[in-house]
Amino acid sequence: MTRINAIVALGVLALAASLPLWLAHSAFLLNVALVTLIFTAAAIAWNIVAYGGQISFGHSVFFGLGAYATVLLKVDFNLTPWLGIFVSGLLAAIVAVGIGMLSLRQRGIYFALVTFALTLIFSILAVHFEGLTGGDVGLSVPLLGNAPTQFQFTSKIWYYYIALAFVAAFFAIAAWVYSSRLGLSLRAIRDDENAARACGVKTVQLKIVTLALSGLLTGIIGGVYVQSTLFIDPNTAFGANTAIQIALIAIAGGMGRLCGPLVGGIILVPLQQVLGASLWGWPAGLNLALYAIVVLTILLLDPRGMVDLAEGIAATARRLVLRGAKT
Amino acid sequence: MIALVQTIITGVLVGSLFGLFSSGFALSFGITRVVNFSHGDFVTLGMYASLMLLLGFGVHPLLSIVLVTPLMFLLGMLVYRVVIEQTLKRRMERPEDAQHAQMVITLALSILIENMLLLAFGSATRTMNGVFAGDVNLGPLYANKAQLAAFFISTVCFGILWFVLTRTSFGKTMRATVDDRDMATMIGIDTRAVYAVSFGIGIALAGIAGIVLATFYPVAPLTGSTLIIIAFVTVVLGGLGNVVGAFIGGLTVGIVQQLTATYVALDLQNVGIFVVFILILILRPQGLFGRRIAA
Amino acid sequence: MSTRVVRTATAFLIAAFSLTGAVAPVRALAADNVVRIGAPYPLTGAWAEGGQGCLNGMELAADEINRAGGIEALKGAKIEIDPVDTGSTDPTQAQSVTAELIGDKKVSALVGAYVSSLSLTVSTAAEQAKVPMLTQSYVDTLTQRGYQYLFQLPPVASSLGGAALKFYVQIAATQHKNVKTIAAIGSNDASIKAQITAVKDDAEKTGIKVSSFDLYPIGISDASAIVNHLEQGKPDAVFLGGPLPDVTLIIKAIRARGITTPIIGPAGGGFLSAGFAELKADSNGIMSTSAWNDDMSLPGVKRAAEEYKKRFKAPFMPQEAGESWVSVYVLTAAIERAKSAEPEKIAAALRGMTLSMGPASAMPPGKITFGAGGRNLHAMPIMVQWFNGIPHTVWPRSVSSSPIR
Repeated sequence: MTRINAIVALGVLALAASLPLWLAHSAFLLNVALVTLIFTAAAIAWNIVAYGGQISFGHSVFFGLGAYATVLLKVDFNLTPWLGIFVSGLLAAIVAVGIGMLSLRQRGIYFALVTFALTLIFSILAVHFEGLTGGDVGLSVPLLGNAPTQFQFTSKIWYYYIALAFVAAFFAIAAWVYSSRLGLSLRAIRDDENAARACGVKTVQLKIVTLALSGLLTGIIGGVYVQSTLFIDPNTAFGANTAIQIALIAIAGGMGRLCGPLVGGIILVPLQQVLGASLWGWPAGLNLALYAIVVLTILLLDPRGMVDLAEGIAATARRLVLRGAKT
Repeated sequence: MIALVQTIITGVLVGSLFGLFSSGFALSFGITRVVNFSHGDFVTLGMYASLMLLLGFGVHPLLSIVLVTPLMFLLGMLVYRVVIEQTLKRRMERPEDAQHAQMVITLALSILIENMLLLAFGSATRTMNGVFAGDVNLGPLYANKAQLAAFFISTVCFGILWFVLTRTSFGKTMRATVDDRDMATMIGIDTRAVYAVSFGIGIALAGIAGIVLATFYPVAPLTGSTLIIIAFVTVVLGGLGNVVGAFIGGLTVGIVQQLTATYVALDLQNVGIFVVFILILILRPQGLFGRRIAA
Repeated sequence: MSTRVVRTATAFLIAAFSLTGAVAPVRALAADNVVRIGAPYPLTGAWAEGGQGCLNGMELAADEINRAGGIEALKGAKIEIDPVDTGSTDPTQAQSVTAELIGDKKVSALVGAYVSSLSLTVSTAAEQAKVPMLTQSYVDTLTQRGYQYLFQLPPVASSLGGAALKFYVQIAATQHKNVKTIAAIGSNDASIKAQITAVKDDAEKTGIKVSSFDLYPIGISDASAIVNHLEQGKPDAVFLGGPLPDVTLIIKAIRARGITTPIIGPAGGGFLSAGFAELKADSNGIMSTSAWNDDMSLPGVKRAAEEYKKRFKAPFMPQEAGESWVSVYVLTAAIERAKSAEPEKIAAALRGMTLSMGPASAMPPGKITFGAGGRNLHAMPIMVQWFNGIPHTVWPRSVSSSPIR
């Protein structure tokens, strides 16, 4: 199983690294690929919390904090975003600990409800504290032309490879968590929290630590996102849409599965982007309606997501081949 | 003093509608354990139904309630049977797996409904005119006629719901299912039907709230998506799955909103709700009226 | 067995769907001797109506110019409008489609993107690629960033609030009314907040009493608190700003209480969209500042408005459509002057250019000059008044077409 994961991951990495070679002729597709990588990375970070059976609909909070803090550190303290994204990630991690302490004592779907409500709180705060955040209009990163030391490039290819490096790093971290003692404990919590606690697992602390790690990574990728768009506003940063986007990718791919967010991101983000960009001649709403139908279909076919669906198909195919060989 | 009474009255009037659709949410959650992210969009559906029946056929919203509610109920049953039940057919490792899948399915459903409404009606905001127009004057106090009507309809509907749940054998069946589903199945209750019916009732209540809301609140395809967060706050306030708690939670949200708007600042009215929300999380995470949530 | 087949087939369908989708947007380049102008707008989602209006305005202008023989300096080259959908809420999509316009379709210039957050996103990409962009968005921030390739046609938000007050006091004087007390109410989003705060500050400076000042959150569920304030303060005029659903709710609540005080809106928000007419009788007499209106006495406006109404079956040509229509004429003038469709040269021509003739000058007061940072130095708001579902230009007299009612 882990070998298959490694092969899939390496294959994806190799494919992704060579992608600009055959996409270079299209600025549109290159940008779609970049967005895909950023949201895939965020979904990988999201999924770490899901190892423990927790489902978050508020990861936009960490994503947005990472983006806003990166810009503000640059604008107010002239800190290069190369460091800024990590400082912002730490900030997101601290907020994650606070959120965890508030909401992870309760079990079940409680966490999902609370995190979803938090997206609204953060949006309101970002709009209200106008002096700090630029209010509803949002914040622009000052343009510096091609400035590699300041994380600004005029060519999107650089952003693409940087985002790819983050996806690879996040995946490695997620794989490490998954196979480590922490991952084992998390799965124990997911399967039976009472039993895990009885075995001496400090369940609440572990869940908070995991959320902090997830928040850290999500904050970092939020910083990368803002450097690639050079603009952020409260709705994109903290809004429910972003939170849902991140969660939907991971869940439709396979929640709590190592490869889930990878598969989900690679299929769903381009689908949404391309539908959005190519169906405008049709009545408004068709693109997202189709996107929703695809997601619904996937989950109705297999509520555990695409990875599970693919495994099921593979197993069926193997059985058919074996049966064919016998007769 | 008069200003304070006026503020609280308005809060109760507006809050009663929050209470009505939140109690629908709490009911279907309490019984089916489905966190229905599309609940707010069924409110929008009710709003458009109300508006279209009035504009197209001159049907008064009060009559629309009678016409549309059964349809919403059937639609809710249909959604449960065709979509949500699918997640229960496959063998899952744990019930939470099915619950998570259901949550995301309702999320996708929400995106679907919002965009179908966009396809059908466009993005323009629509307004209803001439129904329950004007204010009622009671000495120094005012009440908007539409909001007053909303309050009466909400309270009556909630009263009927409460009566059904506590005084009828069907209600007892439902409550038995909430308390212990395995036991309910063992004593011969058709839990599958109970689930579908309760989900249908939840949607029907959302629909009624929408029909009434349309008389004083403008409607656009995304109107309901802002209401769902109020429903979440309300049910956490009232205790997850607690129907009465959700209704009182709705009234509380309405009053807190109005008090913050009048005495603190209008633009912080929702922050007031969230302060209460966070206080509840810290001090009484099982909700104001909740029992401890079972693991 | 059958479920398995269905499952496999569906999986294949999804895969095939995503693949064909991925190839679709790469379109062939069109024939020679056309000048392509990119039109990034929200054509789906909550802002679709306004985005479509902008696109309609641009296409109307392109057709008029092409019918008249195209661009003279480029041997009668035809103008082609290249629309893309930015979506309403997803800046990543805005970014992708802008990359498509600039990188793949090689447009000469952009006009967009109606919603301020989208204009901010798109203009950053345009600036990096050194492609000129004209915008109908009016947030101050756009032209405070020192961009070289962004040109803002309408007056900025902060100047609109003051104009609303100044104009209304002038209008009231012609009706022999004295404005002693006003109420200022606005949503707390940046541009409306800036406008309504400007109303309040200007009022206090000129000795007008502000009886109540309320900022409300977008998506307000009830207007009672606002109406109670009005009732206590008894102002001579109410200045109100915000998105359509909110101002609709508030106006209905004000009129329901029997308060008939004149209501004036700062530009933008709900007061200038066709949906405002849904207020029916309650909309009559309500005024708003605006950057453009379809009955102004400026060159070409009336003819364009007639064609717009006929072609797009609209009750009137909205503000954003008008600004977009002017934008295409402005770009054409710049191309004529640069004698080139190269983005850099068009931008150079736009900088410091003064337009005072023909439809390219049809922004009040009939003259456009872009100053440093890309602001239109002459930009001037106008006052419109709603009557029978249509906004009429009533002030200032130099461009007005209707009497004040």
